[in-house]
Amino acid sequence: MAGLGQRRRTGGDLDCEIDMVPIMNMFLVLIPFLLASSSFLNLKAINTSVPVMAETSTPMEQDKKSEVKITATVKLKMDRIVLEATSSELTEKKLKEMDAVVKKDSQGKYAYAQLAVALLKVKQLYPKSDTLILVPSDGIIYDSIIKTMDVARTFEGQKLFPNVVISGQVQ
Amino acid sequence: MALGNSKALRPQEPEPTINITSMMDMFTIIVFFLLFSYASKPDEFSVDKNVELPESSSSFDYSNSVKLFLSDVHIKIEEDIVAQMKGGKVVGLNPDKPERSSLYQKLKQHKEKQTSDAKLVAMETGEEPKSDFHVLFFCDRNLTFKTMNSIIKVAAAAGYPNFQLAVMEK
Repeated sequence: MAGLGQRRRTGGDLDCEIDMVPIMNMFLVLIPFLLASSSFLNLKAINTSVPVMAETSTPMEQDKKSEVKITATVKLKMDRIVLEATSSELTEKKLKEMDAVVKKDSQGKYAYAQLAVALLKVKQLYPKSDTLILVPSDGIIYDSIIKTMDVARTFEGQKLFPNVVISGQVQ
Repeated sequence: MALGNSKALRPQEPEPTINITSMMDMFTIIVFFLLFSYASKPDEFSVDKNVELPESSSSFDYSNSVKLFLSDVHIKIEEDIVAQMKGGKVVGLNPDKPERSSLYQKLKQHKEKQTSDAKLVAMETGEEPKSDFHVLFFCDRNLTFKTMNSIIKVAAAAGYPNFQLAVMEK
């Protein structure tokens, strides 16, 4: 009896330790390798295109009844942004009502919020509209183009014009 | 003599051990974090030092396609320098005859290769061959639209009217 008890006690007291040194060594090799190969730059993309020639189709009766679609044109100039609307289904007068000019602020920066408000107004009037043509002047830097595209696509979580087409100015 | 024996007579101290459990925990977290950031990366490429990408709110992931790097020094397609830039203009590019430029020829080569590859894939799968190829455009944030537009025009002429503009996530 005494022998059994002693055996149980010694078995329970066994302090089992896993040798973690080889695992540590493996981690020390893995970490520099992963650090060297991993990228912390979060790269994203904006889909865009250049205007292409397309065959115009005769609108069907069903299309006429559908909601009007307008194409917003944003001219990015050195001192201001000009918004114009184009559509074959609306009169010149109605289209002119949507036009807007957004001047640079006192610090010489584009007032993107004002542009977004103007675009939002157009979108609310014609919710089916989804295309915007961006026409930057020659001297406009790429950063400003991207910022304008961001504003044109979404404003405060609301989708505006997801299809942005970049076009050069017609000389 | 007594001095000589003092070390041996001293009570034996236990061998010091470092507790590496906390270090193991930290390393495990780092390894998992790095493994996940490694797996989420779809493609491997290096952005040129001269190209500083703009920030954008876009959340679209880029797709693997022909990569064009445009800086104020040179134009690179994939890993090859195809043209030099001088004063915001592409050296050797005549806007009236873009097909003579090395930029156009290189893009045309890529387009032809992509088209033939797509046809082979289509033959194997029995589906329509893919035709919506695009250029993934890495452009320096400070370059002007005039410079950009000249390259966009050449790319469009070479059969790439659709682009993906690479940006940094905000």
